[in-house]
Amino acid sequence: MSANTLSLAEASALIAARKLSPVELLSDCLARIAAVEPKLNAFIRQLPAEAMAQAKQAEAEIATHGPRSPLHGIPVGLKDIIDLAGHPTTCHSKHRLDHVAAADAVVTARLRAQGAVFPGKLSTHEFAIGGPCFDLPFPPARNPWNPAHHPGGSSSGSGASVGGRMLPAALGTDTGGSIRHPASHCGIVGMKPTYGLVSRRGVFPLAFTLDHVGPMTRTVRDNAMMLNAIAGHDPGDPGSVAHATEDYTRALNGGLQGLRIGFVRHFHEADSMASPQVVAALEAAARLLAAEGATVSDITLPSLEQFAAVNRIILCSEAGAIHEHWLREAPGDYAHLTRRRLLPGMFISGPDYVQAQRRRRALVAAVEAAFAEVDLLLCASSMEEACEIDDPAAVDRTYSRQARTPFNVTGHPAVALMCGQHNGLPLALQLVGRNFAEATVYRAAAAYERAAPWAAMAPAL
Amino acid sequence: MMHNAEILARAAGLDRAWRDHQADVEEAIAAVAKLRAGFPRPRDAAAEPMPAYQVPSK
Repeated sequence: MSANTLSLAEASALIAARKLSPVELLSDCLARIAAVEPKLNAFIRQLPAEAMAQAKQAEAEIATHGPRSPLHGIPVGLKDIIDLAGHPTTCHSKHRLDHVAAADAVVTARLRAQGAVFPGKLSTHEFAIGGPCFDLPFPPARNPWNPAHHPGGSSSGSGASVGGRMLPAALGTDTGGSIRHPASHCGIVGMKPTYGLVSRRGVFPLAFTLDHVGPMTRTVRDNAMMLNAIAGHDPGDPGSVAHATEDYTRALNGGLQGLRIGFVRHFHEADSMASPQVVAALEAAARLLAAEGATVSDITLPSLEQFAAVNRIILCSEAGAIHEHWLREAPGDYAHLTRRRLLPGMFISGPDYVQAQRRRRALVAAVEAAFAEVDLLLCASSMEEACEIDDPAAVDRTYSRQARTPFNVTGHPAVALMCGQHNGLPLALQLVGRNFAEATVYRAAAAYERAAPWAAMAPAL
Repeated sequence: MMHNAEILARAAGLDRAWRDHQADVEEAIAAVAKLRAGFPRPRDAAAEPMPAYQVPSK
């Protein structure tokens, strides 16, 4: 078995037992990258020599002192809006080709301190907002389950590299669903943590009050291990919360007994009609969660339309403030799709922005009220499987036909994981928890993962 | 006489975008009009937006 197919937890255990070296693990990952990257375009910049030096150093340190953390010697990919010292952070854009990061982002530094290895910078939608574009300096990432299809975005390279078994883990960012969208379409696990739990410093912003950084992995346990490494207060990030450090793996074997789950059916049955296959997959997941011991009941939240409008007004306004200069002076340097997504921010009035932030408070209160009745929410992620990447109308629809933006608006932790398959492509659900209840979200996700058959499936690239 | 969309574009400082990408600008203006209608306004005129401003603690 090639080491690139191991989960992060499996590789970590073998490294700790001296049965696998970080050099062997990285070598197998690099061989996989060489084999499948031409089909997937997951990387903007590969760093094999630098990563090999890191892996050799890790190998020597582990031989002498043992691993300094469960991530010692583990390759981790970085979405290319996250700074890696000494390398460009291009944001997949012509505007940023010459920008070289002077220092690591806080999340990069935390992973580096734990001994992680960095084999490359990963594709994204331009500035984490565009879409799969063919008029940029780098091609768009493609879906590992079928390269003719969209991998989701904006953390598209993160999804493709982990789903494609090139890397065991990657970091993504999520402002309107950009971790959970590619996690859903690439058949992996993507966590948008509670707003403020993970530092955003050194990550190019899209929208300050909606941006989150989070892990993308092949298993729930791997995801919790990654969150252990990157979570923590950062006084240099104004949105960071001084929350006590936790072990997010602690409840993974806790099962579902005693958990109350509210099923937000109206998101996919009334607000945005899901495909019959997604509906069936969600119903089967709800039955499985109940069979495993959870109490599952219907719950009602405000409509998806409201969450989406509030998210978009806030996102476009804040992004407009960041991109104002370029939109005025060099609008032609964006991809067409990115320009279309950014321009609305220049026409949203001050009162519109404040009204959206006022409505946001009411939406947060509504979701908080739901959590007085249940411990977790179950809902759709995407309303259908991944569309073809070269169908612009279908790609456009994928960004509105989803139920991810509510939890960017409210800040609650939300994980997406596979719950079915259609036409050979993954389908996904979301589990959402109270603020800072990531351990409970992982507990339920792990129980579902154990009971369902999806985690054992892999794309046949 | 200037088109309404052109007036808005020039007021937003988007002269170049209007010149080179007029359809994108028109689409953006239409999109914002639709978004504005996407959620109700608070009945309470004094409702606070989120996040509330707080002075730095130090």
